[in-house]
Amino acid sequence: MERLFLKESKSTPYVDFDADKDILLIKGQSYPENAFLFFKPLLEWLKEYLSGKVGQDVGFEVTLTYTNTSSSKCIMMILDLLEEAADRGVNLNLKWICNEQNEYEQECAEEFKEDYTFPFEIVLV
Amino acid sequence: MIHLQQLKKSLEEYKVIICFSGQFSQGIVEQLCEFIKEQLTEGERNKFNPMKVISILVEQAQNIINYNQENVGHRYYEQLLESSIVTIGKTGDGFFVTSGNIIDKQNLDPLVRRIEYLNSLEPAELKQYYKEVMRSDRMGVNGQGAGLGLIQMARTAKSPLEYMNYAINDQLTYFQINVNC
Repeated sequence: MERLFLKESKSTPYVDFDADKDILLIKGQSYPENAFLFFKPLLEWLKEYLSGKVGQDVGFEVTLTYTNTSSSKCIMMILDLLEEAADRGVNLNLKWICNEQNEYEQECAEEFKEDYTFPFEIVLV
Repeated sequence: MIHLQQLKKSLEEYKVIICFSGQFSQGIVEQLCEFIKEQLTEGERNKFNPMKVISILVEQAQNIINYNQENVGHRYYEQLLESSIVTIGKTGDGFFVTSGNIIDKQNLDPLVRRIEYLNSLEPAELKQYYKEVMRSDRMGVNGQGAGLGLIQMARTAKSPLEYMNYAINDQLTYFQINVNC
């Protein structure tokens, strides 16, 4: 599958979904005017990619310093896809990286984590 | 000629540190977020997380932008666009974000009821309600988060959401909301 790579902008995160290395990265802040428009291609890419990964290892790494509410909704949709994939036998490993000084970031991560059962590790740096 | 000292004095009296008046856009919101990060001093940043201020500002401003987009073709559309203002200022032990814009009177009661409802909830209830609304399938065509913005404001606020409105004419009213964090 073609690599999905997006540069960071003021209101959208850096994205690097590398199907060859099975490493998926989202890094930055997200508060675009239309979050659904921004995340739609990511969701479509993930859906297709994860459908072919049963029994294989996939690493997902997230660093999000700030998301507005509509971006949070889209992140939830991504996490739902990951949960489904893990249920189907994809060996998913999610690392959510937070600044240890930033409680706000950690609370957001914890709150997402509560709703999922796949390996979801919060890493403080 | 405009009496700038008077205007400046008013801003100082209300302890306003950042103010933008005029038509909101995504670009303006991004600039304001950058400003907030710059304006908070090192010491303040240790005590207050600028992300709280930014979160409230973004939700308020994007709500206004979305409201205006829903009202393209409104009889007073131009007035709606120009009516918006946001101020960020200091309180005794934190910050306030207050924004205002003209809305159609028919939207006032539902908005007030919604704010009152949010103010009646305890933090744990707010969290649960936030998750419920986020799970509900009401993502609009414009990618709006189904009223999540107000809930997020209520969750970030350290005191109840405050609001006020001033009638303009038979159809319009000026609405403002204040969030302390």
